[in-house]
Amino acid sequence: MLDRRAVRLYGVHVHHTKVPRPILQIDLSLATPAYEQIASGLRRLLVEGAFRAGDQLPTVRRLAMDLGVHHNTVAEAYRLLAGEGWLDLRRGRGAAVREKPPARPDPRARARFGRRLKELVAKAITEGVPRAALSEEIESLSSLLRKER
Amino acid sequence: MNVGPAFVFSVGILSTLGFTGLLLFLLPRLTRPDIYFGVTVQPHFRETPEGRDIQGRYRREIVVHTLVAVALVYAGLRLKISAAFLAGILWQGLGFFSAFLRARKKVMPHAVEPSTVREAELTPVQTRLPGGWLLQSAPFVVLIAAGIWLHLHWDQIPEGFPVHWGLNGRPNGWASRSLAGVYSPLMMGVTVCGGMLLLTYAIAAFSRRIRVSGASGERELRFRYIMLCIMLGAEFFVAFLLSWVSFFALRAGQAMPNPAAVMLGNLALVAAITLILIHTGQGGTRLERSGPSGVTSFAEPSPVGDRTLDSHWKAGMFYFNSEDPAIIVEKRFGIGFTLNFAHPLSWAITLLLVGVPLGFVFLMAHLK
Repeated sequence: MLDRRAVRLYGVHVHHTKVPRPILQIDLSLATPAYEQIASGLRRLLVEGAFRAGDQLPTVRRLAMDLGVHHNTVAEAYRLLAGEGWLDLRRGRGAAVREKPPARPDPRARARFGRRLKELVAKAITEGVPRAALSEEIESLSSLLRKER
Repeated sequence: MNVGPAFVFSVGILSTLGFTGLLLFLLPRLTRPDIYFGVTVQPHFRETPEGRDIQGRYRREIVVHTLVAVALVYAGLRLKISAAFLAGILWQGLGFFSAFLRARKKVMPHAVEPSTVREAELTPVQTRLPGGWLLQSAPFVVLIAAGIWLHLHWDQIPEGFPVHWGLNGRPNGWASRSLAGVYSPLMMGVTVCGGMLLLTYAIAAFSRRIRVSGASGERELRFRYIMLCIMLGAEFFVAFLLSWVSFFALRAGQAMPNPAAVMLGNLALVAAITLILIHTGQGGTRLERSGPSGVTSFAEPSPVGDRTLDSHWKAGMFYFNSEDPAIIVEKRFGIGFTLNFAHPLSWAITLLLVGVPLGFVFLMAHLK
């Protein structure tokens, strides 16, 4: 959606978007491979509802260029998400977001998540993140989840 | 005071050297704050005594080289020594290069690693050129209209007509009433405008943004749009200039066209572009800070630089990185964009942009 309030500059109108645009960030210094970071970042945005079913994602070539990584890195991330049912990959048409049916509740997945969350919290504390800040992050996530329910 | 063609030409050339000198003088302040003489540094480095000292030396060298260039060109024009004239033009370019490399060498011990964080916008890119394809095609319409006009007045074109005049105001170059002779300025215009349009599209569609989020991302977006507008403006200038030149065919026997108009137009264009670049800075870094922003700003480790490693920049100006899929990247010194020369496509583009107009001039010179 375009903000019709334009900024006049050198006789040129430049439109700015009002709604936050989905932006993907990766850090090449992390031990996690770039394709996993891309897949995780995209998955987070998909879960948060940043895209609707049918939305097109940038082409592999475009995203690779913007992130300054090899095409195969982006292609691998897209394949991973397509395997999970998030994306529809068609040759020459790029990646489109799919309507993802809710997965069946899996008690093992929940246990796995609980363990990983605790590990993640422990790691963050080791790295010096204050407990109050962690609690704040978890609470904001929790309220977001409650709203979506 | 004698205001003949020679005077106008001299003023035009000397002013262009002056504007170039001014831009080179100001360039260190126009780059991104975390890139100094092509080296990634802490954003505050340029404000330290050492950073200021490096800039001071560079600027003193630029002033000296510009003055030497102006003196040589002036002497060349005054004494009619073309070698001195050419030496003056070359002096400024080579002088700048040596001053830049000396400054860069002094900055290198202060280099830091650029941010390893990369960001990309996930909405599909829609390539929109300023004014759309309608306005983008207007320079070609101007050239085609001039061609139609010449075609309709073909009978009024003499067998031979002057196309070039010496500084004494006498014609020293002639063309005949043939397709090549009459239409070569217009064909030249189509070639140059075509190349510029191609470049405009390539920048819009295939260049990478350095900042995507936050107010700096918005400023960069505006900067890119301004760059594309400048390209379009230059295309219009070329189209009108060469259409005017093509009408020389209908002015045979009359006095030399007033060169002051061309010089003034040229100077106005160079001055306007210089001022706009001074105002925007590379990547829009000098545009007002409180721009509208509807996007989240990410906290990033400083400095961001241009997200490329210094080692990929040869002499701080030429980008070679075979692992980077981008072909068009932001310049490190200067304003605008450059090519990733590690890709064969970049060499093909360079050859096309340089070779086609040169080949065209060569071909037309032989066809006449």
